[in-house]
Amino acid sequence: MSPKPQPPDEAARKEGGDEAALVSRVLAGDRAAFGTLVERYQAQARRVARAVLGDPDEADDAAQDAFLSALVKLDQYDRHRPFGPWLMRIVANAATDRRRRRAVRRVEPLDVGLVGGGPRPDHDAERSALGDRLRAALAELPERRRMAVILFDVEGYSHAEIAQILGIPEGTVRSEVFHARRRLRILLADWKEEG
Amino acid sequence: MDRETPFNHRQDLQLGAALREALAPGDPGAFVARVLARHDAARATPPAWDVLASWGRRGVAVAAVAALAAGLLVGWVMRPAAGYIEDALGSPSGTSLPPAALLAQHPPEASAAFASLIER
Repeated sequence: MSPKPQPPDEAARKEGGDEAALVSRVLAGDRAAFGTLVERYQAQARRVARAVLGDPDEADDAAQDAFLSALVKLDQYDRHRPFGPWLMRIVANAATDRRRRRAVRRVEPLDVGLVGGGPRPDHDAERSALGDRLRAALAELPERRRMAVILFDVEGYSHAEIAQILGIPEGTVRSEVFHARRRLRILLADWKEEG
Repeated sequence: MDRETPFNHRQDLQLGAALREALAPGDPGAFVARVLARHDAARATPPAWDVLASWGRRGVAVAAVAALAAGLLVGWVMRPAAGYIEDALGSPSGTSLPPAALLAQHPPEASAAFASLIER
């Protein structure tokens, strides 16, 4: 397994100081400022949407919907609070709405070889295969659990912020993160042992 | 990896990095361009409610003018013919008061008006 520990994507969030000014410019009709806001949060929004939807193209569509929806609602945003959780709530809702609208729930078929600890893939394909495994494992988790662990361990939001984003009590967030991690860590441990 | 408890406040950086890589989105530039294109398209096309509202405003103005015109027409068609009041006053069924009492500059004495009613 090769991914090196990296700090979560807080760089974008730390830039929150100028967010109020950026939002003001967007509200004044500054297209470039809106572009900057989208650029800053696009990776986070797309990952969160993908955690809900699985399919990357559909996740991108949901993330786009969310940015445009956020633009429409931007005058409702309290500039004294961090922008990220406010936006992520819109992203989560957009992705959830899109998933509900799907006529047939598309579950990515799990590769028996990957999930069942089959023969170890070639070294070149290791990272890709680990990604497949993680995505498959995520797909098996309940939606709220998936979002909780992504928002906590990948995006670096606090339990309180995630509670605000998902509209659930903080204790529930802790529980969801705990259960998701337990499942995902087993998978990662298997992977290490196989290596 | 950390030993897990539900009270763990720390992020699992290793798990986070693996998930980040597994969920890595595609080209950011293309995504931003698509969002801005949709933004531009939305600005170029007025929302359906605005269109309906503009139609509504125009409709209300047209209806007001039509109602005014209709009112004037009806008023003109139904205007009283000349001498109508005088005819009504002269008619026995028009009023029980004597015409002189209605056409007088000053109101008649109450007793005189009452007496004329009694007499009829």
